[in-house]
Amino acid sequence: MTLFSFVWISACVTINVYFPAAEVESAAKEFVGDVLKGDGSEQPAKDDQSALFDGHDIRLMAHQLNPLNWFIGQAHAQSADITLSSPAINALKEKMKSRFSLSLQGYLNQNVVGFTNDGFVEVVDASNLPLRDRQTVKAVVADENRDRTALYREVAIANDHPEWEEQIRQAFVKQWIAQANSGWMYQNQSGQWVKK
Amino acid sequence: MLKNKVSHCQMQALCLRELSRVFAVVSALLLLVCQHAWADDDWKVLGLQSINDEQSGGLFIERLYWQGDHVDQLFYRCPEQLTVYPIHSCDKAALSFEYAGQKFQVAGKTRFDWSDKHWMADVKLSDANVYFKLDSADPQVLMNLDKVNPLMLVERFVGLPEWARSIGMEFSGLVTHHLLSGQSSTQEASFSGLDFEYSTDIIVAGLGGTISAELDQSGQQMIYQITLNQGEMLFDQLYVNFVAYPVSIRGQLAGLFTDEITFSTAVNNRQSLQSAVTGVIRQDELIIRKVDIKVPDSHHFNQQILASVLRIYGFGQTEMSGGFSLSAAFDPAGVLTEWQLLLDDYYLLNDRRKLQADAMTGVVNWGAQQPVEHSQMRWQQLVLAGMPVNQSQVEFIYLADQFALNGIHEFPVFDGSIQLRDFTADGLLSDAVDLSLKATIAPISLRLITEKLGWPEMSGSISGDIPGLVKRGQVIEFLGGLNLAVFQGQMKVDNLSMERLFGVAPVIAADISFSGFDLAQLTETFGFGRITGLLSGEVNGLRITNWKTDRLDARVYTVKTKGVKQTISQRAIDNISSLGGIKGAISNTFLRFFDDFRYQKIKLSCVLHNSVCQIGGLKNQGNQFVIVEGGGIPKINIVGFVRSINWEEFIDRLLNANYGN
Repeated sequence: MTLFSFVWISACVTINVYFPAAEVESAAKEFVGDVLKGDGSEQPAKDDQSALFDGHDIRLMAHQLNPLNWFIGQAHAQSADITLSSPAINALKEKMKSRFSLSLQGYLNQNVVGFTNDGFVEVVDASNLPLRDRQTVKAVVADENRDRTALYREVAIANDHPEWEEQIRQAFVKQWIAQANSGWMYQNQSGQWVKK
Repeated sequence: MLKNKVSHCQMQALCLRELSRVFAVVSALLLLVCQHAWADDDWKVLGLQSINDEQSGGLFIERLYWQGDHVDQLFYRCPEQLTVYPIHSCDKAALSFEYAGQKFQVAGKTRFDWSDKHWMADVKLSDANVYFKLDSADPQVLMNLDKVNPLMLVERFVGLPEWARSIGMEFSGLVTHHLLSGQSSTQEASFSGLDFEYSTDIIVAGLGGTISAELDQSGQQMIYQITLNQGEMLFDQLYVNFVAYPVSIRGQLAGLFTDEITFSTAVNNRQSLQSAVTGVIRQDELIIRKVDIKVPDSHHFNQQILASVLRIYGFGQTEMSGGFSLSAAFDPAGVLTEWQLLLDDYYLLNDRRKLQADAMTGVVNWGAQQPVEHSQMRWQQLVLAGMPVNQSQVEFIYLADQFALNGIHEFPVFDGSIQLRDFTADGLLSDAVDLSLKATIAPISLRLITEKLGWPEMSGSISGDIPGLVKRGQVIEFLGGLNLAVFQGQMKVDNLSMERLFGVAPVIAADISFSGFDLAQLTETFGFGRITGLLSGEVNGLRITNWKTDRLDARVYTVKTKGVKQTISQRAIDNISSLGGIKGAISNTFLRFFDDFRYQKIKLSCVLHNSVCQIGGLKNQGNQFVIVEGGGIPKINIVGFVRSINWEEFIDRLLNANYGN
């Protein structure tokens, strides 16, 4: 009977393939942070005191002050196994960084372009731009969105799970909006454009 | 008191007749500016009053009716003594009245000759540079506008639709209006600063140029000729700067003031555009019937117009020359029914997308429902995703969202060819494109391909059969496989797929297996140092992104075969050792006196992921693996101890035969 139970249990092995949401989000966070830093150009300084300690810095500091983490902190930090650095992804990232510095950042600052709720960018209001620039901003947005489409797929493939593309895009949606500067436009869940 | 006088006068027909001649001047002016027919038999005057004092004389009319319309509070004043008979003349006459809730004032010269009933007026609107010249002997009225927005006048007199009120412009020129025929015209009038914003995507700003037009009110038609050489326009994705790209517009409107206005317009640029559009405007809806666009100089057209549109679609920096034309026809509801694209000695180059067409000539016919004539295109050379197709031609049918090659086509590629049979694509306008293809690749020399790619020259050839293909999203998967006869052995490429081939980061993926490669030939080709023997291997999950190897799971190994010597040269050993960063492994020792060594087996594997190659070989144990297992005396084994190596560096070391020298 015991043997039978053992065989029965052995026959019912369930393999759970899970989407490593936390790891992907953490990787997306780093990627988005890098892109939004731009291509060597300095990010515009925040003009309020909150810039000195943002939420992330404070959490990091608290984490380091906890004696327990002196022993186990590093081990956890390295458990994430999501890669965002294949040659294709790196090339896309460099393009996006350079585009951010050259044009996208300016359009975001002017609220001409905003982050959509599906991980892309869109022209929100180009009415203050000269006509030629309104055409240019369309090209910048189209270029950025082509890169982002390729990025989400390449990240899924680089991690051996092409079927994760949609979830990876969702992880990026969160990060684009979370790391947007205050004053930038983004689309909320119901599709309305709001200022951060 | 005034009212009493008015009603008093109203009762007296005699009073009215006496003064009506003077009002003729006033009323003619009103008729003119209000664009009504020239008629003097329907006037009615209410509350007429003569105003006379020591310095000036004049008239006041509370309301003047004619043809169902009226003006109010009409003052006519002359600062001189008002003389009615026999001649009334005033150099500084002033007229004011209210019409449609707006107040108007004009000032200027008036004259009325009682003897021959000849009158004339030469006046100016007090708040705009609009001059009127009227003469009873001439049914033509001259209107001179000097930097005036004519729409503002239209708005003041008859009103404008909401969308037209925001149109700003300055117009200068002479407009003649024939009071009897109702015809108006202007010749070479200039306009500037024409601004109109329909939406943020449809907008013109600062338009300027000249206009000639003839309006026939009774015939309900208008012909016009406009040159645009100032300002700019954005129409969705199309941007035109008219300073750099001046155009002339010529056309006509018929059925004006009816529910259906038909129009035909030609828009030309002297260097690179001849176009014509016809259609109707029905209840404010624009319905296009036919469009013809001819571009004789696509280089100029591309520089000025097309390049910035192509950039939005990711095909920026496209060069082109030669000519093309496009014509499209629409059904009565304005739905596209067919189009035709003609290319004439057309050249296109986009380096980034690896696209090129030389001397392309032919026609593409498309029909929404009705079968159209076959399309044909021929070229001197075509480069698609870097693959050159020599001079040939193609014939196909393009109907609705279905594309089908007409018959068997053989496209010469280098010294071989690609033969396509039964190539069809359904659902081209949808996301789920259904593709079918049967293709055969007749042997193409690898020497030519490798030369083109800038690789070390290889002998052998490539051939194969592709029985079909499937499109899933952006990915096109080829069924069947390609066979390569190379290095005296066989190579098979399976599961070949392409992704975003003309887009961002194009991908080519495949699984490759090979056997019987003559190592001597291979090592010679790459200048690696001679190794003899036969090599087999697999490269699974090969993924080339942006024309660079992104991922693979590869292993290559020698297969001991009877009658085939297995030797490895000193230089080859040095080079293999150099993969591990060791310089001159053999050449620095006494073994340098041996030219060749025998080996049992060579094996090397690499799992490339994230730019890092997990390297392996024979007898993988921990970090240790054997690449070359020697045989005979002296026995040379090459053992690796570093399992992870940067891919770029690995390839560089593998292919760079001069490493260490």
